[in-house]
Amino acid sequence: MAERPDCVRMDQLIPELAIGVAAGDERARLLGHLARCTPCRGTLVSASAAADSLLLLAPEREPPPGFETRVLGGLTGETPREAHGLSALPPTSPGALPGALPSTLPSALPDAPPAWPSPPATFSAQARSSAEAEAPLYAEASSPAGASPYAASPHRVRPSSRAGPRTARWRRTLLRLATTVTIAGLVGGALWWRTDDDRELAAGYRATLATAHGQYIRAVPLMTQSATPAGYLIACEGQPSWILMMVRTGDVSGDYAVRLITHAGQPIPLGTMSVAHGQGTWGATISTSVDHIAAVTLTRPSALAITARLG
Amino acid sequence: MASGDTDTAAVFVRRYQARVYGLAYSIVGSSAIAEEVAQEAFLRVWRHAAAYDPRRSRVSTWLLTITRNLAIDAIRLRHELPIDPHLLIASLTARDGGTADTGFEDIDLVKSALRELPIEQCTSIVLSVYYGLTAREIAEREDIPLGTAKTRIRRGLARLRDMLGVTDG
Repeated sequence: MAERPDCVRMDQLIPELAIGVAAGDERARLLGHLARCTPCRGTLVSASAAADSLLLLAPEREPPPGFETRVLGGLTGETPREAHGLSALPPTSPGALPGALPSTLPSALPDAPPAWPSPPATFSAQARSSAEAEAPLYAEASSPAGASPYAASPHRVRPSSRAGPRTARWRRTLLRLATTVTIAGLVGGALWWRTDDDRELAAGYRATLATAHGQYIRAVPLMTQSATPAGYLIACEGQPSWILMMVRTGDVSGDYAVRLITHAGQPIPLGTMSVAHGQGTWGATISTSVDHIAAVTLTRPSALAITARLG
Repeated sequence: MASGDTDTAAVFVRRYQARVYGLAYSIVGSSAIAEEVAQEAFLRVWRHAAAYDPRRSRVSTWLLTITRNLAIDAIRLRHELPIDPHLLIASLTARDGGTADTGFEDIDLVKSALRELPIEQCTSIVLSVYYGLTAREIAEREDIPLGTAKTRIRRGLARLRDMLGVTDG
């Protein structure tokens, strides 16, 4: 491979190109060289193969239910795919050498649009009146085309000689409203009675929080890398703030390095937690506000990591 | 896939969905975004199946590379790494990572090779391969000179090539 002076210089750049992270100017220079240098192309192919093989290491994970159906629906165009930002991205060069794919990334893309359009915040009188014209109330829905809806419907509220169709509509609306309110009252009463225990529990929590003088307390689950529950983490904002973790997972024993990750991505080592036979409790004060914690991680060489995500 | 046969597509999706979704999730750290990435990856493979050249790489490599690029695009929008690299390294090199019956025979070899790398080289390689960070970005993040970041990537990848027995094509 790299024997000529040019090749020696370019050989330094090949790994970054193989991974797909070469800077623009270096990338252009290297591609120019590769176009006329067979040995360096060979080096790029082998470096790309090594880099690409690392992608096999990501643990397999079952996608959410219905994933296959949604993908196939998207492929055949039978089902509308959910709108999202990714589909707006420029096409990834699928025919190019995998490791040598362009790494040019859009610096800013529009936020993903919602899957369904939201209704307008205000509904203008004109729009409302044309909506009414196009969507008559239930009784008129079966009217034959071209006939007056009131004349055609056997179930319509008979309008009086002085009350027009609009008045009849209002009467039906009020009747439905009254029925709805009655049913809602009955359901609400039943719900109130059935959730008595929950309300008592909620009152207990409120009292606890009040006792803590409004200090910020959070409890989140600890999860293993394979998405198995592994205990709980409690974080409390204060002077100082602290975290407490209770690990309950399988029959694992060993020391875990505890690290806090801030929202800015900064890792802060907190210490070592010992877990014996899958159980352990550990706590520490922290110098970071609870609000700034993105996650707390427990790692041990050659073992699945455990994570608590706080947001 | 290249034939446009939907039955073949269903078999293909079933075969690779856990691997594609798993890779996307490892990078973006969110099930909703990972699903979008995985869906889009399959869609792009379907659209560009005719352009796939089996002489250049295995189809799994091709599919995973597309997935990785889409996932990196997604995290670039958020301007943050959703998962601590050290956590990701622990996950990638875990002995009990549950990849024994995946049918990808090279996995144990690759895993062991990554485990053998010095941690600073391993971190630089993972940051670039999984998160698409350039040498300059790694240098800033790790607070090291740019030359050091480049050297770590170069030496790390060279050692991987040696350990995996990958020869120049």
